[in-house]
Amino acid sequence: MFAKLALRNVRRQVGNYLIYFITVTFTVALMFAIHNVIYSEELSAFSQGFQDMSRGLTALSVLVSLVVAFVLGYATSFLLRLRKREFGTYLTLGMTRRNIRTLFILEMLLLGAAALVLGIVLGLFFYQGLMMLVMNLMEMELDMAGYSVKALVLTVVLVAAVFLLASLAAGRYLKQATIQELIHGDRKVTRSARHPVLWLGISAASLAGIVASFFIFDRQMTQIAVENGNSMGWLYCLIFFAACLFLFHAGLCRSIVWLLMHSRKFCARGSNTFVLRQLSGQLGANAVIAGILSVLIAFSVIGADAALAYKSTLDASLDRAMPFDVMVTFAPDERETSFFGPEAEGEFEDSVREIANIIESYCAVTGEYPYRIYTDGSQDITRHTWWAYDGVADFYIPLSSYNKLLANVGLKPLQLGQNQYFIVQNLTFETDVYADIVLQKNGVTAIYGGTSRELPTFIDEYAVTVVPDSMVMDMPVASYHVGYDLKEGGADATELQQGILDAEQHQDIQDQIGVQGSGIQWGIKELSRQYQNGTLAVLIVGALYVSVTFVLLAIAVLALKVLAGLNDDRRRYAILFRIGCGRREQRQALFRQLAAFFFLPFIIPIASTVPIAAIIGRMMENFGYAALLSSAWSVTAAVAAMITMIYVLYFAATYLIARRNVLYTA
Amino acid sequence: MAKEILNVRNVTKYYGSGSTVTKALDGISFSVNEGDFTAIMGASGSGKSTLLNVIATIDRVSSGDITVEGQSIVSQKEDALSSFRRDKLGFIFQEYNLLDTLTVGENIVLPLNLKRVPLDQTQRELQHVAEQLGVTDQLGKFPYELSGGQRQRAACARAIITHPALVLADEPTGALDSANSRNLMHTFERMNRALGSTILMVTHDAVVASYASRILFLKDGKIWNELLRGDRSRQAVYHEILPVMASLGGEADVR
Repeated sequence: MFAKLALRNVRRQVGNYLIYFITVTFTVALMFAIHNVIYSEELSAFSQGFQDMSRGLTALSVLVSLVVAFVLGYATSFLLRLRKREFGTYLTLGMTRRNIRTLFILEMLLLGAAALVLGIVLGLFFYQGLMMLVMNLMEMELDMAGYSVKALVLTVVLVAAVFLLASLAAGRYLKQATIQELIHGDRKVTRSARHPVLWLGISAASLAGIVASFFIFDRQMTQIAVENGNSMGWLYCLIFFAACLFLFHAGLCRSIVWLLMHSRKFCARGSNTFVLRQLSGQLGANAVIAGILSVLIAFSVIGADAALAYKSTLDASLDRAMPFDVMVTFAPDERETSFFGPEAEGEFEDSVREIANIIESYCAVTGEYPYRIYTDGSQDITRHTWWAYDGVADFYIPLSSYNKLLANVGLKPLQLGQNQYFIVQNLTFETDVYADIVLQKNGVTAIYGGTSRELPTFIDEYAVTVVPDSMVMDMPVASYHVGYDLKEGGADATELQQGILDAEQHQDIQDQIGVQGSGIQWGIKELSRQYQNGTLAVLIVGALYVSVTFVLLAIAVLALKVLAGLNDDRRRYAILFRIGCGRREQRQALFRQLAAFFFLPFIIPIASTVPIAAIIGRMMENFGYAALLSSAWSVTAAVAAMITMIYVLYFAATYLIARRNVLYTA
Repeated sequence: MAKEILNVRNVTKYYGSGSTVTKALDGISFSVNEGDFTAIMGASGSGKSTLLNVIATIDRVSSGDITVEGQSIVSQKEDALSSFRRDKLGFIFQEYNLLDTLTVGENIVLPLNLKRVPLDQTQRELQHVAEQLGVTDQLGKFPYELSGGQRQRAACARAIITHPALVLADEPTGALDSANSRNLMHTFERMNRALGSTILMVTHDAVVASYASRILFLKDGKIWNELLRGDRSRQAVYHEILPVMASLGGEADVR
């Protein structure tokens, strides 16, 4: 009997349950899609980086499920509130609490099962979309991604757990609420918020705090980039930003209506007073939740932004760190204290050819670029920097050699005046300290000619100094390097790596390559890119998953809050109708009421995307990726647009449901 | 001769369809002149609330015509009817129908706000009507802070602040005790005599109806009888109402 009643109730309550149903369905779809990504055999095969990171995604998914359980529990209580008079009536008619609990939980189960099925169907498509994104991020191609049974099982288990938790919360409420509460609870009067002046002050101070936190955060980031500051200041700043954002919205909810009510002219126009009073109760009662939502939205934007910006930065960073397809370095085992003697030269030149031979058995080599980095062990430049304590010596590269390398990677040559040196560093560091340093080597004196953080260093060190050729004559070699360019699309990076490893094991070859007293370091650009892309794909997918889920849940809470108040609203709009408020005016009043409630916790976090993009842009600039500035803005705009779209969709659905339920006509 | 405010001509109202049609109003005709205080009485199901609803344009007639100040309201569109309700009618309901989120003052001026009356004029009207109905001290309070009688006075103030052509009252004393009912009826008398309001009131209560200058009795959707108070005392009218109500088959509330 209960099953029949539950089914009938669900059908009758379709309008009220729509938002809840949509939210659960989308959450299930996202979960199912992400679980399929985690267990994707294609991705694991493509990238070791992906395999390493996907375990993190599983943990993330469980964590997100806990949040989903909490929010759905909360959402269920709204559905209860919406129908508590009905349940109260059942109780007065002699149904037991156990009966009602069974009935409600059965209804939830029916809804949950329907949402699970639909969510999984939707998830099948979400997954393909997500895989397209992942493949795009990993710069790979895949026609159709395969599905995983494990992913299905994990999704069903997590959704079942979520429903169990949510049903327990609802069951507890129905066990404890009195009939009086159930029947008359929704006639409680919402009073105006207390201490509006204090809250307005808190809100204004918090707004100042939000603005200040942008500046402080920007400075912290600059310090990290320029001075390699490793303080936790940026973290405190983020916490401060979150606190200010929360207090600003909580305060605004408790004071904005009071503030607007002071304008008597504004209040005397049309239904303004009515809308403000409607909002007063709604906002006052939901001040805390609005604060939490604003923080969730802001951090969803920041997270997604940072992850996507990080990708752009890493892509550029790889091109700079590995300008050639394969890079080989011969460096002494004790790089700081031992240098190569002149006898190493011959061995190096032989090795360049031998290595080319090994590579050529896998792919045609289109260019080989040997070069040398020199040092005399001095710290003329390094001692002015923060990395001097590592005992790192100054490294030099002659101008002619450097310009040749630049030409090989398609960059313009460096123009230096006579007897000038130039510092290329792979991170931002205050450059004023270099200006007074005069270098004297080999009888040649050179003065400071500039710094760049955008040119490649061609060396795995913080900085290299480009000096006149005559300066390094007779200077010991610190490390030998050779870069190879391969025929485009000719090499399978994994095979090439395996081939190199095999060759290294081979004694004959071992004897032929290398420079005495040195270790060999290999770098295969494509392999690094694959690893990096795999890691990044997980990071970005994870960030987007958390962002979208949190925003979805946050908006669902808002929507359900609105729907839970529909009974009261219906009564009030009926009164408006009777005293001559037309359908159009009622519609406008309802729209303004819902829009203000919906968008209040949304405007500032979305507006924050502008300073956030500016900060990310500056960070990129500081780290030497000025060329990526426009991508910071486009990524931010894309993330903001995506979140706005979800928000607007939910708002539209809520408004339409409310309009259908609330607006009164003859 | 007094100006005709309301004219109801041969109005019928059916509910349902096919074999389950119910005739709520069956060819009712009557008119109300400016300054009249008319009560409508009848047993439950006699059609008195339906009659009030169709005049209030909350419900539509099946046939017939209703004019207010000479203008027909039966064929007007939704938006025009809203303006009609706002400009020409004042409402007083059994359950007060004050908005619980608004203060009493805000409730009273809401119809003027909807009409976009300038602020200073709104304030003048509020002051005047609040003084007349004795709610000045309650303007800043919320409805839940008032007694039932005070709430109903506030509802009266809201109903007449726009100087409507017709005030419609649906069982206005239904939720009040006898003392508060009496006070409210004195308020109605003041509205009618001092402020010139034309009132059409539906009630079960014989005492309440005895305050009216004219009483229409409804039975099975038709006007069955009519009493005019003339110069008689309220008490005398009251005693005339009781047998009529008894013959209608309904029990009149006697308080």
